[in-house]
Amino acid sequence: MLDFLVLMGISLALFAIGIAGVATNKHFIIIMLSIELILVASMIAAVSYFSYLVSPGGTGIVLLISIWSVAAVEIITLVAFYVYMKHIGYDFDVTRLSKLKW
Amino acid sequence: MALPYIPIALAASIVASAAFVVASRRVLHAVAALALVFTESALIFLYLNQILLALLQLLVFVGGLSTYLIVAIAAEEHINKMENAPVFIALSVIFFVGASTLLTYLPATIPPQSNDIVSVAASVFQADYAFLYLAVLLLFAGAIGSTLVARRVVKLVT
Repeated sequence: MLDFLVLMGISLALFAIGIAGVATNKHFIIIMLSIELILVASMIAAVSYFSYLVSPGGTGIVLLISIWSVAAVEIITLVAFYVYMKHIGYDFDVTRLSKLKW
Repeated sequence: MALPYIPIALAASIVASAAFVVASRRVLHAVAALALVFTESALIFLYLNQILLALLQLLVFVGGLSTYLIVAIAAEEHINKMENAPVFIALSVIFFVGASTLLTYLPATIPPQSNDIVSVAASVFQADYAFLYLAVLLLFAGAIGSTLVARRVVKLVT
């Protein structure tokens, strides 16, 4: 099995890359994909935490399902937004998305 | 039997794939790299002996949502010609051989399955699988809700 610290390191690295992606990109799709990376980091951290520290065979399935649901809904929303924004010819630069305020 | 360098290679490749998602200039490449991140996270679950979680991760995220995302974005980008076909074929062969080799060294902890179709069907409707039905319901509600929200946003924008 992988070492717990290695798993935490992977999770931390993915989280840092995701935060960097959200902070440095202006493209709407890349920002959403960076948020997906943050969710993957939280999945790995949750599973490794439950496997090593809570019980040897534990999965933390309830917590994991909630993370999965958020990640899946985000991807579906991303596709819906992408297709509609592409069809109406809208810019993907998030600094110009002022019309989305309501 | 587990090779000592595989966890290090797995950690390095998942971090590299995640960095490619953020640094990629084309959206389609970023989405493909994200699918690779999902696959490698499923491999990490396998290394933690969580067979069911790895299977769900592969089925839902790699097989379902990543394919959905790639198809949607590739259809909108209007690319008809295949770019760098030899590189794509070589990478596919390397990925297939590498994944097959990796799976050979994983611990074989899959319990023996029953061949009796009635007992398998009866076990599927037990409370142990309630979280699977909950996940399916949540995904379905999320899909419908996100489409409705997107339609509302488009009406506001246009």
